[in-house]
Order: sequence, then C-alpha cells, then structure tokens
Amino acid sequence: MSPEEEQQLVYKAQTGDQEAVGLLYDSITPKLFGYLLNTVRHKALAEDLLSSTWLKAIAALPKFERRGVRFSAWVFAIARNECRQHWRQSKHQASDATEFEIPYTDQSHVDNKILVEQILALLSEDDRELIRLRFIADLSIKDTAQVLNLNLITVRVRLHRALARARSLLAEKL
Amino acid sequence: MTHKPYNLEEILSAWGKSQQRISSTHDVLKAEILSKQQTAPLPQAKQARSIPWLPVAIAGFAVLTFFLHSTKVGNYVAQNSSRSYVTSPTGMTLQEKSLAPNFDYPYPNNNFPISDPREFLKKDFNAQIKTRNVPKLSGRVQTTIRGFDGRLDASTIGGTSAYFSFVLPATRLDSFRAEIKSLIPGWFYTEQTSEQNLLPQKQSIEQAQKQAQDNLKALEAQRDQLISNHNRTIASFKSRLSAIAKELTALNNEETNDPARQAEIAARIQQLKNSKKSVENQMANEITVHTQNLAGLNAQIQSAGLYVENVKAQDQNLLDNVATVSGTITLSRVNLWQWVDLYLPGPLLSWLLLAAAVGVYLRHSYIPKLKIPA
Repeated sequence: MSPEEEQQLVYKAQTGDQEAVGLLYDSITPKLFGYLLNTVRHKALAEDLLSSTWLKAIAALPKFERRGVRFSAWVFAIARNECRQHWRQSKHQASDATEFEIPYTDQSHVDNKILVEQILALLSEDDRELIRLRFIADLSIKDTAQVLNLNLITVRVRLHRALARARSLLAEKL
Repeated sequence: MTHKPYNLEEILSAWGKSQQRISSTHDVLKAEILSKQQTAPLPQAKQARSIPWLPVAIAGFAVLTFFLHSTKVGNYVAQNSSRSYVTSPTGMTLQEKSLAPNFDYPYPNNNFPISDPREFLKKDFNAQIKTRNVPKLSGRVQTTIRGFDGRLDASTIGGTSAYFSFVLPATRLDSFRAEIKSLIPGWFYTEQTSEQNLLPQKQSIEQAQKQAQDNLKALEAQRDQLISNHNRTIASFKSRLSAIAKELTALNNEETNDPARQAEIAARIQQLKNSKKSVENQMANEITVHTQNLAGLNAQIQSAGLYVENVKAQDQNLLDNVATVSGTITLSRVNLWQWVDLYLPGPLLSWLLLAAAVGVYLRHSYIPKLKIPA
C-alpha cells in the first residue's frame, strides 16, 4: 500500500468508515504480527501484544495527525512500546527461544531462513531491531527513524553498519 | 566449487516477507477492532501543505525591505556627497551623518592670493564610539589620550554616555587614531577630521609684527634725534656761557683809570651777567623739557617693545596651535537591538523577517515525535 493510499484510508477511518479500518488492519497486521513474533519469539505473547497494539491504535485513531508520520509507522511504534512495557513488567529481555515453527515449502526459503537466523543471532539487539523494522515491517528509513525516535542520518548509518556486519558474517558462513 | 554470488538485501527482503503472517486470531481481533471504532464523524483533519507559503512570503518581505533600505541609503549618500568632512563608513543614523565639525576659529577668509602657498593647518578631530560598557571604555580612552602626550581638558563620564575634550600633538594624531580605533570593532566607531588653514591669521600677525617693528624703530630714531638735538642745544648754551665767562674774565682783569672806560666795563659786566643768567635759564629749561620728552619717548618705546613681544607671542601661539590637534570623543551606550543592528549589514527588520521565515519553515517541516497512546 502506498503512503497516499494509506493516508486516504486513515482519513476515511477517522470519519467512521469501517471498511477503511478493515483494509488498514489487513494491510498492516501481517507485517505487525511477523515483527512481534520475531521480537518476542512467543506466539501467544505476540498475539496478545498484537491485540493490545491494535486496541490502543483504534482508541487513539481520532487523535492521530499525519504531519509527516505514516499510520503504519505509528502502529509499529505502539507495538514496540507494548513490547518494552511487557519486558519492564516481566523483567524479561527478548528471548532467543524459538517457540514457533514456520512451515516452508521451498527449501531455499528454509536455507535462507536458517542463514538469516544464524546471522541475526550474532548481531546486537539494536541491529536486529533495525533489520526487523526495515525488512519485516517494510518501513522506510524515515519511518524507522520515527519509530526508533532517532535522527534520519543516524538510522541510515546504523543500518549500513548493521548490514555490513551481517554481510561479513554471511561471508564467513558461505 | 564456486559459491553462488549473494545479495544480502535480497536475502533479507525475502526473509522479511517470509516472516509476515496473520495470526490465528486475525478475524476475531479484526471484528473487535471494528466494533471499537468510533462511528461518529470527526472533524476534517488538517492536510499538511506541501509548499510552505508562509515562510516564503516572510522571506520575500525580508528581501524587499533589504532592497528598499539599500535604495534609500544609496539616495542619501548621493545627496550628501558634497559634504567636505571625512567620516568612517558605518551603519550610522541620519542624525549622526549630519554632525558638523567644530570650528574654533572664524570661518576662513579665502581671499588671500595663491601666491602665498603656505599652509598652517589646524586640525580638529571628533570621534563617536558606541559601546555596551561606557565606564570601562572611558578609562581606556583617558589612558590613551594621556599616553599619546595629550592633555585632557574636560571630561564627563556617566553610565550611558561620556564626553572627552582634549588636545594632543599633531604629530601623534595618526597613531592616536589607530589606537582609539583598536579599542572597539569598526562598526561601533565613527570619526570626523577637519583642517583649517590659518594663513590669514598668520598674515595678520606678520603684518602686525612689521608695523610694530617699524613703530619701534621710528620711536628709537625719534629718541636718538631728540638726544642729538638736546646735546647740540646744550653745547650751544655752554658755548655761549663759555664766551660770556671769558669776556667777563677779560673785563674783570682789565685795569683802567679812565672813569668812562670803567663805567663802560661795569655796564658790560652787568649786561654779560644778565645774559649769562638768561642762558643758564634757557639751558635749565632745555634740560627740563628734554627730560620730559625723553621720558615720554622712552615710555612709548617701552610700550612699542611690549607690543612687539606680544605680537611675537601671538605668532608663537599660532604655530603652537597648528602643532596641536583639538579633539573630542563621545561615548554612548547601545542597547542590544542597536548592537545587533550595527553588526548586521542592512536593516535589522530584514534579518528579523528572515529569522522568522526560517523559524516558520522549520516549524512547518518539523516531524514531531510519534505520540504513542499510553
């Protein structure tokens, strides 16, 4: 979904159009759930966080003002905040335990997934977060900067470095 | 065995897409979300403008005021280009630009012939300094004046203004000016220097000197003549007295028995005695008159001599005056706005409008922090 289409749907949703809300939900949820799953590594927890994220988002939807902020970035920021609140309450960090399995039909997908998982395991949590927001959530660098509350150039540099580290790790593995 | 070339970003993109999925509670959650959506229509949300018209308009005003100010200053400079005094180019107000030099002497008479090319230039120096700290800079100005062999004739120092009147040797003026200028940035300093040729005064003095000398010489000559005449007169009287005395001696020494001759001798002796008395009276009179005349002439000569000395002193005063620069320095305190106005080229209003335009643009393009609901 393009930013303009998303903006139109948000505007309609704010005026009470349920269909627009549904379309937004369908568009964002797969990325959101994938991001949450990869972050908390627990299916039930990810579903809870997904639910709390959307409930907060829909409650605050009337107050949402775009002004350079995409709706999807805003939802991901809520999700990220929900994760941190959960960890604060449970005094728990992101776990490396994998409690879900992803069925892959394509062997190359399996190989790539294993490779990427191995590489991500060797990166820092900040690098992992950047990669999740960039590639799972499919956010632009500008949106990623807003979610992480960082300067655009800082995010660009950090992402570049994270990919450089991943590239070197990948080269070692291959 | 060669490895297949890889593209990390493609791998990560594929991986990212593979991670995207829907949850098992997708539809349930969706229904819940839709049920919680507020159905009441909401006010129209403001649409962000793509072109920041307001900062562009403000910047346009800033440029306009800048050019209007430049045109106005250019016209003023052209109208006032005939002024003869010299000033430092700064962002001065109109009042400051109209300040005239201070003449201590009558306006020069230019009706003296070009055949006399001499210059006796009397310099005047005036400076105006703007500063944020008047008392501190006042101390430095005073020290500078005295440091260049100057004499401070008057000073007034207050919290917001100060005034100094001074004189210093003309030979030290250039170095003094350089030192004063170094005390403050150039934008806060203006000066005017003026020069006046005192040749008319010099010529008057020289004329008076000549007349005084001539007068003195004439009086001295007159005195010499008086003395000479007196001496001649006295000599004449003495000669007559001598002749009388001689004749008296001769007559007194003449012995005769002739009664007629004796009567003649007696009569002649009496006549001679009368003459002698008369001559003596004349001589005494001459001496008295001469003494009076001489005293009068001496008094005139003394007076003339004093006049010559006086004119000489005036001449020296004029030369000393030419060798001395009369100066004034005025200090005035500037407030912050005036201080900024002096530093910035062009009008302060243009800069304020420009700053406002930048501020509005930054505000327009500001991406606010994401407001995350608690």
